[in-house]
Amino acid sequence: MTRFDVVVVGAGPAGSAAALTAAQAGASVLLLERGPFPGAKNVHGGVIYGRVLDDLVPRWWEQAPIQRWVTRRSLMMATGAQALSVDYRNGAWAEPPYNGAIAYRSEFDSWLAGVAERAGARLVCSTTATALLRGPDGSVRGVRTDREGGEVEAGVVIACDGANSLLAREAGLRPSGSAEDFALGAKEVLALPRDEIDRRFGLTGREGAAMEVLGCTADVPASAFLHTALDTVSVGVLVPAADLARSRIRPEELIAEVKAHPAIAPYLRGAELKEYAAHLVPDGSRAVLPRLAGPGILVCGDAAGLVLTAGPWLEGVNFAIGSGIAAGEAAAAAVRAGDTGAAALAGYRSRLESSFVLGDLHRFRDVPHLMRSERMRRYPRLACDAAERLLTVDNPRPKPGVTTVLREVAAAHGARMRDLARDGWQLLRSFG
Amino acid sequence: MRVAAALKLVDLRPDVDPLTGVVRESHRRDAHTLGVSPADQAALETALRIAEARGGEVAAVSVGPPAAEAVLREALTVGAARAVRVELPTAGPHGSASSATVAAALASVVGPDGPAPAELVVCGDASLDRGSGAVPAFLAEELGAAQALGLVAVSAAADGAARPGERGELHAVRRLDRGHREVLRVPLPAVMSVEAGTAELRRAPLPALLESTDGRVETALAPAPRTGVSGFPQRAEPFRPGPRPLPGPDPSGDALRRAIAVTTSPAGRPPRRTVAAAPEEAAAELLRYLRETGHLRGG
Repeated sequence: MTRFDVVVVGAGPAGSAAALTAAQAGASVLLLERGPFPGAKNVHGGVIYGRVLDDLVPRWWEQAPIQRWVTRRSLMMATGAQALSVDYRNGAWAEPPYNGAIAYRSEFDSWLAGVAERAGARLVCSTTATALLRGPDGSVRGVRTDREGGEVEAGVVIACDGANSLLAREAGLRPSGSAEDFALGAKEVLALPRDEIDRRFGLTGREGAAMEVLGCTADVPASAFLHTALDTVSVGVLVPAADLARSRIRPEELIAEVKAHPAIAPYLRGAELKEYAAHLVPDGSRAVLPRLAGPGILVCGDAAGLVLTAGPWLEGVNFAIGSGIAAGEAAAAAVRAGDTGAAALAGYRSRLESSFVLGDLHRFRDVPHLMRSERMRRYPRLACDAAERLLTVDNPRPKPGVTTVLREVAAAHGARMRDLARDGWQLLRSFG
Repeated sequence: MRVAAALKLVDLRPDVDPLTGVVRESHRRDAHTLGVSPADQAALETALRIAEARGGEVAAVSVGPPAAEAVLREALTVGAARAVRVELPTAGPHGSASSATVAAALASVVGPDGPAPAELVVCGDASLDRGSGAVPAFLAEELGAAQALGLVAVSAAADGAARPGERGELHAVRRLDRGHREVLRVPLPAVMSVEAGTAELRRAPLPALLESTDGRVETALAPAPRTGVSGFPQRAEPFRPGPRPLPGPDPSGDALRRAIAVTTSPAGRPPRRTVAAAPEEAAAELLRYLRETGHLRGG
């Protein structure tokens, strides 16, 4: 049987970062990927924040296949025919070291896996890890794959096999998944000429826009997003799987609803549909964080549920890379020390706790739940109605005062000023 | 028995204009979209099975740029003993060489005097990109071998005739029109082309994938083309298959029937009419017919 110090399962951002880190630390690394190439089966509707890569791949922005750099972030509250936006622009984000990036994951993941390969990791694609191999003491000793002669012995197995991780489940590190633990991301990629995108979104060169939309799907607590690549725009929704199932609405209907909104339709008029994709996303609203390590095994990225879905922050790739780096370091150190037991690998969790990965997730742990609560979901509509009252010129009647408008609109939505103040305070507190 | 499998590097996901059917050349083409057609995969599997059944080894051969080495390395991992990439001596983008040129380049490798001689060459019946299916026929001509093209099944088993000193023959099944099949006895040496459904390419065992294939792909240079021309005749526009004439609808029917007639496949050909007349009368008759079928306007 072939033996590697570290076997990484899944060549997404978490897996490639883990493989790269472990290979740089001198371990022999096998990186297994189920798809025909890294990124083949990944769906991503977010922005990639690459600051976490700075130490691992110096000046990564010069080699990574980035479509556009986000210079415009907007948060839109939309209901019916209305929309109220907070629009933030920063020209400095279009220059190194940049902030957020929009990339095709088929290209980005392939690139990152290529970096890991050049560092010495061995990449094998079209190969699924189907089971864990165990030692007599029950500790993980390797993986079995779906190929002939496909058992591989490993010092440490790093499971980066995505939201529906089979290996983490088999290792007993996460309970069998229920719909409550997942959200569904669904998106369409729509083609438009590059200059048309520049004009509609007010961009130049490699500048890109990332928009989050709340409230435009009436019956489901979905958040929608719009991201610009060079000559495509991706538009999609993120919706808790259980809510989606209860609503009996199909995800593509939700996207159609978003696309038809009068504040969004002008951005997409005449665009040609290129691609439709959907994928499970770990739902960040879980109060308890998963176990991340067992004897001989570490879990990273989506497989460990490390995704931040808190209001304006929709992040996953940076959490995947951050956890991958920590896992790669911990695995290489454990192999070097010759002890890959649970105690030796526990350093992985403490590394994550002292970094942004578990820090952010802990700080914003109440946000996702709160944002989706029935109480909070009325606020987009309330804000839009208040804006309407304030901005409608109703001469010859005099303008109403802001407090009056708020009180009236709140009353119309069945809330009192006291509720507004309390929710505002709670929201503020949950954001830390 | 020495068997060769001919593989062509193709763009598996070309960007096709939905209105005109023209392949857009501008789109991003990277390593992930390059590969071999399903028919070529079936050819490789068929070659491997025949070589296993009859004792022998398979050489994978591809005419193409250095990027084609990736598909040859994959062939090595599933069990090909050798892999040879043939470089054409004339410049030009991959895929621009004519079928005859490609066949001559293949023959220079798998022919009796080539670096990887083979008694049997298995090809895919048509590649995904241009797909004229002509290379196997040209190759058989080059090699002076028997040809069995467009096969749906090949029996790999050794038959009684394969005694030492005799080359033996293979049995194969070919698709005919209207669901008929034709069973062929193919004498060796032979060139076969198989349809994609003939066999499913096996998966490489993991140890073979982990083994390094560095330096195992040989390179050969094809001889200069005899005619001096290696490409297709100059075309102003990208390749497209030619249009096929269809019979016009029955002009006596109403609009609905005519619409149905032109949008569904015709049940049969309309009866042929032969006109024996002087040239002027024949021309007038032809014009009248074209007006009748709606192809010409006016009286």
